[in-house]
Amino acid sequence: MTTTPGPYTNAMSWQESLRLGLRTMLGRAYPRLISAVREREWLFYEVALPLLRIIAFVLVYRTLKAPPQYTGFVILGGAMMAFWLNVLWMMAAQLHWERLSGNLELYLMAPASMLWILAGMAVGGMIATLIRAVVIVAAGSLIFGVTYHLVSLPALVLVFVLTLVALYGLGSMLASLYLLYNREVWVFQEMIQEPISLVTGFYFPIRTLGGFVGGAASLIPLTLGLDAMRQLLFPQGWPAFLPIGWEILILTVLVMLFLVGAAWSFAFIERRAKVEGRLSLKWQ
Amino acid sequence: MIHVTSSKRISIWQTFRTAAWLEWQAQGNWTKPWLFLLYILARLLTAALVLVFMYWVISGFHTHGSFFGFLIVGSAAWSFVEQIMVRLSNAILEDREQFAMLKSVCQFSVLRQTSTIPPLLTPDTQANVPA
Amino acid sequence: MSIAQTREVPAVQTVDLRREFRTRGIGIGAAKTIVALDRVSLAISQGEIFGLLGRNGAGKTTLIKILTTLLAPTSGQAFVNGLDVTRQVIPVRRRIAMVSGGEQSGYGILTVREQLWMFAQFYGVPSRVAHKRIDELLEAVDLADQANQKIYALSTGMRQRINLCRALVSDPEILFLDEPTVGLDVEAARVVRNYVRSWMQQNPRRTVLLTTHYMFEADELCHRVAVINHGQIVAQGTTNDLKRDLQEHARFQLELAEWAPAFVERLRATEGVVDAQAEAHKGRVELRLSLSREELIAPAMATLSEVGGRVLTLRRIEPTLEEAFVRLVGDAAEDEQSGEAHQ
Repeated sequence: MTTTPGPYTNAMSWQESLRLGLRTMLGRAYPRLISAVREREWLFYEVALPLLRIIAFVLVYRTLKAPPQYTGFVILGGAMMAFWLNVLWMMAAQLHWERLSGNLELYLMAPASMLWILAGMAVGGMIATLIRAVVIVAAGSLIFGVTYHLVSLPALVLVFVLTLVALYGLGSMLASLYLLYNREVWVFQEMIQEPISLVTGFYFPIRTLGGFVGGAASLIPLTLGLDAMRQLLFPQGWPAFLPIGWEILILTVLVMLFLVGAAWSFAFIERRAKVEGRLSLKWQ
Repeated sequence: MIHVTSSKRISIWQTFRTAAWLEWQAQGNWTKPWLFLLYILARLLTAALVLVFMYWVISGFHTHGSFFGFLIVGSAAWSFVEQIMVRLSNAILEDREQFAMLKSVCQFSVLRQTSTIPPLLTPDTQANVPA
Repeated sequence: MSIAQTREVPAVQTVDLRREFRTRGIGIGAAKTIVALDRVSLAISQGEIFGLLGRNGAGKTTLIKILTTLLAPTSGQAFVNGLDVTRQVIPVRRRIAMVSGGEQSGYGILTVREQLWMFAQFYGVPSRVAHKRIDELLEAVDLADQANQKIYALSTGMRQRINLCRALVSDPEILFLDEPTVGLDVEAARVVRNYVRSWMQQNPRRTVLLTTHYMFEADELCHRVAVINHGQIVAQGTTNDLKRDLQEHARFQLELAEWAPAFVERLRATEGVVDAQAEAHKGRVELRLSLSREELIAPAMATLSEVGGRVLTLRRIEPTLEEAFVRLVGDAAEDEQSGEAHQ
């Protein structure tokens, strides 16, 4: 039998890399998408329960006799929290589950970058997240009679997309820690959830916390993203932290910083995990 | 002859003590106890601070009306509700997915004859790994 | 790279590979260094099924993890198809796949077809090609009727067959099987072994590195084996070489038509006959001979003939691979203990 020489080229062209990455992303998104269709209990605990939480915060503001636009601020904050939780728990922490089930080894052995796997997780979770956000905004606005005064739709879409991409980068950096640690990162994630809710201004203007805390909190893309979106939807009543132009610029910088940081972080931490022998440890 | 009632009491106490120790190992032994306590306090405080800042944004900084106390107490009480309701059911779920120890415990437990837990204890890792 | 060069490149090669682990313990001085691999040098040719045998904790899985780019060696080098596993990670990953025993990978809510398709995407296999391969693989492992079954509903044996399909859907050049039949029933294990053999036969450039505790499996499948003990290779070669090397004497079993005590006396007096044992069995006599050299069977037969013995059958008794393994690992353990005693 004739032996055909194999393709012993070491490097992939950028087109091959992109095709591989996109297939990987689609492949990993699939289980999330199909899970949303086949197991519909999430509609209750991912949508109905968070809506109740939002309603509770709205009622707190109403009891305090806050200006009516604060209802809209809370609803928008609650909607955007869905994306933050998607990144934190459905992407970063997912590697915790993948490690325990043995999938992490198989992902690492695949030729595509882990960033594509994580992108697939984020995209796959997007359906549930979008539904949650839309229901919260729609139901909350209907129940409490919120009106929005959109300044610029293209700017709103741009801010939204930049925020999501930057969040994805940040989530990827956090996910890379799971290659080396497991329980410590899980606990760290649980620990930061509430402080992040506090400093990113999900339910109140970030300006309240002062320039220093607000500035530090701006490293989390949601802080400036939320602030910009509130300025674009409630131009009169929202006490802005920074002008929209500055916030869009900073978000753009964060996108590049976190995406590059994620790529570097994965490469560095994977190397270290391989040297220490912690990549395939299930119990740490 | 072993007195049935006292052996049942001892067994329940042993089960409780072992379960408490096990939960500490699973949740807290990744760090020193004082650091773990700090972490728990930080979580609770920051959850409460969200409401505090919401209050101060509207009512002015460092005011303490009656509703302020209501918010703080409510926030503190909520943590118990969350821990008891959510953590208990999470403990069963975690055991099914990761540890598969409850099955062994139930086999030797005094609850064996009356418990409905055994049918729930089949470890089924793949079915419960989130996609 | 030319055909001649591709033929010369070993599929898997390790050079003085060493891997240490530092364990964390409780208490002062509890941390210690464990040497999982120590100066392991192997070369596996393309087209080979190579077996790696060893006790639990011998270093088999550590070696596989290094070769599959999941672990970095402490020192030494490892190559897969000529590519360095530490420096050329992506090209290595494009060419390999791994199946572990007791693997629980994937997602229970997906169907078999969906799961295999998903893993095919991670290797860039176009959907049309992936579905065609999935059909062929499921047919080959006798699971074509389970294609639309959810993963969580499958038995252990079925899941392991699916794991094998998962590894092969990307058409790897080198397949690492880490105890692939552990926990499987006889039928399921047989299906796995048969398919590995036929998969190899389809393409002469494919290579398999198999670790197993089942000696008959290594005997049945492997062209060559290596025995690893405490991180070191203690023997390497074909299974027959390993068996023969450990056999001090050539052993034969003869069936005789009738028996007389003189047979044993005369045989024991014959040059080269180390031992002769006779046993009556269903009206015939079984005679077991141990000879110092294989070729001395002729004089032994001549001696029997002189005293009137009629030989009905003659066969050579080979030691089993299990005996060879136990002997090798036991000898290595004794050497360790005597080495420690002298210190």
